[in-house]
Amino acid sequence: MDSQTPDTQRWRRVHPLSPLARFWFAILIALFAVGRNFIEDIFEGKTDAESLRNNVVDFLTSLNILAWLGLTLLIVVVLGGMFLNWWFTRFTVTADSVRVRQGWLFRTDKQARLDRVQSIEIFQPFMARLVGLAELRFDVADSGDAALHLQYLRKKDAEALREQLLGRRNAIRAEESASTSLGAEANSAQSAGADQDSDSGRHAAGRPQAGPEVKPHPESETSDMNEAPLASVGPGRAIVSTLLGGTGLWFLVVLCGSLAFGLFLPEVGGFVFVPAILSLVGGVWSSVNTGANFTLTRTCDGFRMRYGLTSTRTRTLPLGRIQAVGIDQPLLWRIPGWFRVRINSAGLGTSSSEEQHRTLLPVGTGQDLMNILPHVVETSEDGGVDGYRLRSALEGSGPENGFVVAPRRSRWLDPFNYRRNGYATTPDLLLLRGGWLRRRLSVVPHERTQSVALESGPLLRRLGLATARLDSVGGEVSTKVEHLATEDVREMIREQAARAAFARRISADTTPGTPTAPRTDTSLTPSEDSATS
Amino acid sequence: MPGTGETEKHSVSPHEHSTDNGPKEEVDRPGSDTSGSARRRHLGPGSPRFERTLRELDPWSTEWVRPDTRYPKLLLVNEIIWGAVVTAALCIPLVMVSLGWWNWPWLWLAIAVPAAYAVGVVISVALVPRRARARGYSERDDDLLIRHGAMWHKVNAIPYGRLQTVEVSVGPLERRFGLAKVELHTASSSTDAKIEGITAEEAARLRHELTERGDNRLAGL
Repeated sequence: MDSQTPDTQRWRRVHPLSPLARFWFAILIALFAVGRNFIEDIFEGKTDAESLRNNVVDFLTSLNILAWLGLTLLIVVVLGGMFLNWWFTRFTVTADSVRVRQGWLFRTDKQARLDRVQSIEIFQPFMARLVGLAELRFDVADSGDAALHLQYLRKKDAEALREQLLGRRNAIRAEESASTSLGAEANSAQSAGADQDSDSGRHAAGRPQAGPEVKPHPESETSDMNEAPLASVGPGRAIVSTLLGGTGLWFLVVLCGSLAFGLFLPEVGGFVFVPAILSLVGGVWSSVNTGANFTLTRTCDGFRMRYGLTSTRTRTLPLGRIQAVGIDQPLLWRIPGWFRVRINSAGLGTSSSEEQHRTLLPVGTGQDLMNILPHVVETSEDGGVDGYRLRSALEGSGPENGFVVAPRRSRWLDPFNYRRNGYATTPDLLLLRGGWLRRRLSVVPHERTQSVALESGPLLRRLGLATARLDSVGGEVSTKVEHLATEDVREMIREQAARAAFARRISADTTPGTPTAPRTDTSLTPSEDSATS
Repeated sequence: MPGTGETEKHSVSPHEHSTDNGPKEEVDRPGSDTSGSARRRHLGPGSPRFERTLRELDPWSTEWVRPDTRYPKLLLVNEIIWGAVVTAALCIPLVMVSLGWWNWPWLWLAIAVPAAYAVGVVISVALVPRRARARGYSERDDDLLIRHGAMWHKVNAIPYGRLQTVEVSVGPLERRFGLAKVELHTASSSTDAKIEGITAEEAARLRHELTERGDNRLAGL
C-alpha cells in the first residue's frame, strides 16, 4: 500500500547470543551429562586439586580416538546447530507488517499485519535477562497464543522496535478509520480502489504524508516508560496477597495437616504431604513471580502492564478490547482492603496459564482502584458510575445503590448472599453483584452485551426464581446474576436487550462502516457520550 | 452421529457475504408446499398449565414458532436408538457376571445400573412431547429469541448484529424426517443458540435472513 522505504525491507538478524538464551537449559543438561563425574566428586567433598587433576587425567586417558572424534563432532554439531539457528532467524518490518523467518531444514515464515496486532509484549526470561536480551511477542486478535515471537533482541532495541511498530500500527489504523469513514459518507458502493480511498482519506484528514512513520498520537513518540504508573505492586504486597488469597489458605491447611500427622501418627509421618507442600510452594512462587513488580501505566493506545520478578513481561492492552470488568475481593483481602481487577476480552480463554492476560490489576488498594476505574469504566457524568459508588456497590448488600436483589425466598438456595445477588444499571453500564465470602462485582457496558438469557430449573421454578445470564466474550469475569425473582429477571432481560440494541445503534452511528475495526481510542469518547445523554 | 451429518457454515461478514450471495445454497423448494399452504405444520400448544409456565418465563410474551410436527418423532427415534445402544452397553457386565466370566460387579449392581439407565430413558421419552413444545424461536426487530428445555428452561435473546456465523446442519436421522438444525454463533463461546426441529426450507430461509440482518446490523464485538 504505502511506499516502502528501503531500510524497512532489510532483513535483520536477531542477537547472536539468542541461541544461548534459547537453549541454555539443554546446554546445561548436556554439560551436566558430560561432567557428571566431576560434579559428583565436588558434592562428595573431593574438591582438592589433586583428585580433580586425577579425575581429568583419568577422563582424558580413558577416551580412545573414536570417543574423541565423537565428542568433537558433538560439540561441532551443537555449535553449528546454534549458529545455523541464529543465521536463519531473520526478521523484517515492512510498512504494514512484521515478518519472521526461521529454520534451516524446516523453514517457517510468519507474517503478522500490524493493524491486526493487538499488543506487543516484551518478555525477558531469566537467562535472557542475564545477558540483557528480550523477546518481542506479538498478540493478534482471536488467537490465544502469541502469533509471532521474535527471540531475542537487545533490550533497548526491543523497546525501540516496539515503540516504532506501535506507532506505525496506530498510523495505519488512523488512516483506515479516516478513509473508511470518508468512504461511508461519500459512497461506500465503490469498493474498488482502496488505495485511492485511503489516500484521499489522508488528504482529507490533513495529515502530513510522511510515509509509514506518521504518528497520529504525539504522546506515542515519547517513550511512555517514564510516565507515572496508575498502580504498582511491590514484591511484599504480592507475597502477602498470595498468602491471604486462596493458595495461602490451602498452604496453611496442608501445613497443619502434615504437622498433625507428624505429631499424632508418627509412624506415617508428615512426609506424605511433602508433594502437596512442594506443589503449593510452586504455586505460591509462580503467583508471586508473575505478580511482583507489577506496574500499570496508561498509554495512548491502552494499558501497559509490566510484571515479573525473575522474568519481566510487558503487555499492552488496547482499551477498546475490554468487554467486561470484574472486581473481586477474597475474604482475607478485606483486612488490608485490597481488590483484584480482571477483564474479559476477545481471544482470552479460561486456562490458568492465561491468568495474567485476564488480570488488569492482580492486587491493589482502594486508591489504585480509584485510579484505574475511570479509565475502564465510564464515570457517572458520562452515564457510568464513579469509583466510590462502584466500591460501595461491591461492598454493600440489599437494594441500596439502586440494586435489584434476590427476594427473600431465595435464601433457601443462598442463605448468606441472597441479599448480595443482584444487578443495577446506569445509562451505559450493567453492574452484576454476587458472592458472600468472596465479593465480586462485574461491570458490562451495554454496548458489549452479546446475548442475554433467562434460565430456570425445576427447583428455581417452584420458588419463582430465575437466573439471568449475559454472554460475554472470553475470560472469567462472571456475567450472570443467580436466583432473582422471575419477574425481575424478565424485566431485566427485556430492558437489557433494549439497552444493548440502543447502545449498539449509537456506536454504529459514531463509527460508520468500520464495525469490526477495534477502537483505538478509549471507550469514553466525548462524542459518544453526548449522544447517549 | 455428529460426524455423518452435513453442516454448512455461513459467516456473517460483509465480504464473505457478498461473494457468497449467489444461488449457491438455495434449497430446492418442492412446489409451493411451504407454510403458505393452509395446513399448520408446527406443533400446537400443550396443556394449559405447561403453557402458563412457559409464558411466565418468557420475558417478552411473544408469539413463538414451535418445531415442526415431525420433531417429536425425531426426538423419540433418537432417544430410543441411543437409549437402546447405551443400555445394551451397560448390560455387558450383567452378561459377563451371569455367565460367570467376571466376578466383580456384584449381580445387583450389574442389574441396577442398566435398569436405572433404562428408567431414565423411559422418563426422557415420556417428556419428549413437552421438550418438543418447549422449543421455539421468535424473530424480533433487533434480536432473535430462542428457547428450549422443558425442565431446565432457557430463553435466549441474540441480537442480529452480534451474529458471527449461522450454521445449518442436517444429520442422517434428521434428513430422513426432512428436518434441519440452525446453530448460531456469537463472539462469545458461551452462547448456545440452536434452533432444532425445523424443516430444511425454514432453515434455509432463516440462514439467509439471519445473515442478511446480521449484515445490516453488524456491530462485531
